[in-house]
Amino acid sequence: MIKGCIRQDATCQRLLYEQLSGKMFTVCLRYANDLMEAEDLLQEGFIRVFSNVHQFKFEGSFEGWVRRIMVNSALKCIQKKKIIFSELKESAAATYHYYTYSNLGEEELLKLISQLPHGYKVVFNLYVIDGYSHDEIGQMLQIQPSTSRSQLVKARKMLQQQILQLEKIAV
Amino acid sequence: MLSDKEIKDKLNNYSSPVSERVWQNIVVEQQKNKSIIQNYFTGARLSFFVGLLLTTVTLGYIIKQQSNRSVNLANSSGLLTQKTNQNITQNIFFNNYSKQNKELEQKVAFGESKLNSPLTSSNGVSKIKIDKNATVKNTNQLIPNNKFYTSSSVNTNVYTATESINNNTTDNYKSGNDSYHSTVDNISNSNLHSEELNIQENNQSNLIKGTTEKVFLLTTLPLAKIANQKLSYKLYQNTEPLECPGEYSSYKKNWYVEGFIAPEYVMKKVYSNNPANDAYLSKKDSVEKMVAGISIGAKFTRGLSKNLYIKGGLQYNQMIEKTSLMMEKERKEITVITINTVTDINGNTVTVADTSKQLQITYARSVNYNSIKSIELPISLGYEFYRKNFRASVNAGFIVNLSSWYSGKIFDTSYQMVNIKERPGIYKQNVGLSLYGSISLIKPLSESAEIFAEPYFRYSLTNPKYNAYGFKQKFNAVGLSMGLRFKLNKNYSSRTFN
Repeated sequence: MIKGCIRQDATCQRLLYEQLSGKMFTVCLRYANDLMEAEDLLQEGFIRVFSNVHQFKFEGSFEGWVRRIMVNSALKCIQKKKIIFSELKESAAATYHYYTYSNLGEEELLKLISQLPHGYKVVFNLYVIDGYSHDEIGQMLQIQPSTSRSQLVKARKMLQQQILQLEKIAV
Repeated sequence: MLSDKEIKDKLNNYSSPVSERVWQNIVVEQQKNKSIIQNYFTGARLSFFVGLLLTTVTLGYIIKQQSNRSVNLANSSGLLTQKTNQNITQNIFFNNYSKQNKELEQKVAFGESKLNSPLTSSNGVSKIKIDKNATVKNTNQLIPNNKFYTSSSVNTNVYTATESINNNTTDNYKSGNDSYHSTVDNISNSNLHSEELNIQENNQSNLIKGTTEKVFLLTTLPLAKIANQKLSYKLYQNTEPLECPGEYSSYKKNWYVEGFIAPEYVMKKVYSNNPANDAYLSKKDSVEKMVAGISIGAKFTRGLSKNLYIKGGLQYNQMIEKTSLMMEKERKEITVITINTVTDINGNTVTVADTSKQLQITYARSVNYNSIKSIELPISLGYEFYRKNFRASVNAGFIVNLSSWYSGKIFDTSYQMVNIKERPGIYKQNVGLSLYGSISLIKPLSESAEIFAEPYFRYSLTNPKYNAYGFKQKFNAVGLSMGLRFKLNKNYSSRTFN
């Protein structure tokens, strides 16, 4: 299928899209502000995948490679928006690692994440879900690693509050 | 409690539903984003251009070979060089020049002379006319006389010709494409009665210039025995054989142009490697049916060898596809009241009304005719067989689909008929390649016109359009090409016996 995509075979491209579009759309939803923006990110990401698939060296997971392209596409979009990442004191970090409400479904969780302020959301996604370190996030977003940490703390705190509110409603 | 890891696990593998329009936009954007060069020089199209380049080079080589029929005599070895087109350049080295009445020996040495008219002869007089600009070098010792003339300053590589001259006067010196061969024959057969040589001598420059009507009379140029073997070889190698009626000596010069119209029976093949498409393809197959096709075009034909011909041209092809789908038009719920008369034991008659509801569905057959139009480049090689007043040839080649476009409605994966224009990206105008095989039956109508019929088969190698739904389609066809063929080079004889 990948080789077919390298040959620009439309059938293989379609198959690849069908296989990965759902997961990649979740990635886009995490970074986007709304559904339309997520669709745009997905579209742009797949166009980049199809045009650069020949650069895939068949080392490691292809899905991971596609995911990185999606994240990069999202970040590119973010850089255009010039989001300001405010810094928080280091001492405040380490507090929030766990969220009280564990029965949260994927969709609810996605919704909560998408409701975070954009800067928080990006750092939270990059660190918690996509597994980048603060140094990497700093380089990607052209911010200080400490700023990334502070954004993460804020994001966690806000997410926890949101989950708590959700729990109250559920009870 | 929900940890970071659990959030990651939950969202990493979660698949969100995606709208179909995203894929359609991707397809459209991909088309837009491709550069013009990328769009144009796809693999098949690139192959076509390479093939076209090779064909052009081959044709160019053939044409060049044709134009090289003039005789070139290498002056470096003292040979007579003559180009027999409009401008004749002739380098003749004379060493000795002598004449006798019946048997003449002529040894002539020219430094260099340029002629712009062919050798001529009349009344047994052979002439080489020199124009105003003609120059003769190293000929200051050349004096027309009936004696031997010897040049002391001539080139050591001299052309020497000695031959008995027959009593034969000729006027039939040929010009143009006639080669030196015929000239030599004529010269050698000429009977010398007189000779004239009017050459202005330029003592200072050691050049002799011919005036307007300055004529070399080389009437005594007997060339049957050519001293120089190289000259002899060159003369015959470059000589165009004389054309005889009914012979195929000029086969390489035969150029034809033909116009044709070809009704086709088209066979469509739809297939997919994905078993998930089987149900859809089965339905699609029952809905779509090829009706007919037609090709109209023109081809040029050029002889390559005695029996071999190459053909190339341009054609327009149109295939008609009929789609017929029974579609639900209306759905009605009808109340049916059935009245029955029932008689009980006592003889009382009771009327009973049964009410039932029926669903009435109205279907309508939707019929559409689609057009698949293409501009194509047919290239083929043919091998011809001859009979009196009849020729046949077997042809094989390929047809390059330069561009194609589809109009009408297609059977969509939603099992509905959808206008193709509403679904961009489903079909792509790209290059396709088909193999082509045919048998031509040719009947001459006149010296320059022929009528032909050519049953053929074309087999599609590549899919001229690709479908975003994950299936492919090919169009194979059998047809009968009929048309007229006209010879472009009327000066040359027909390939048929008359």
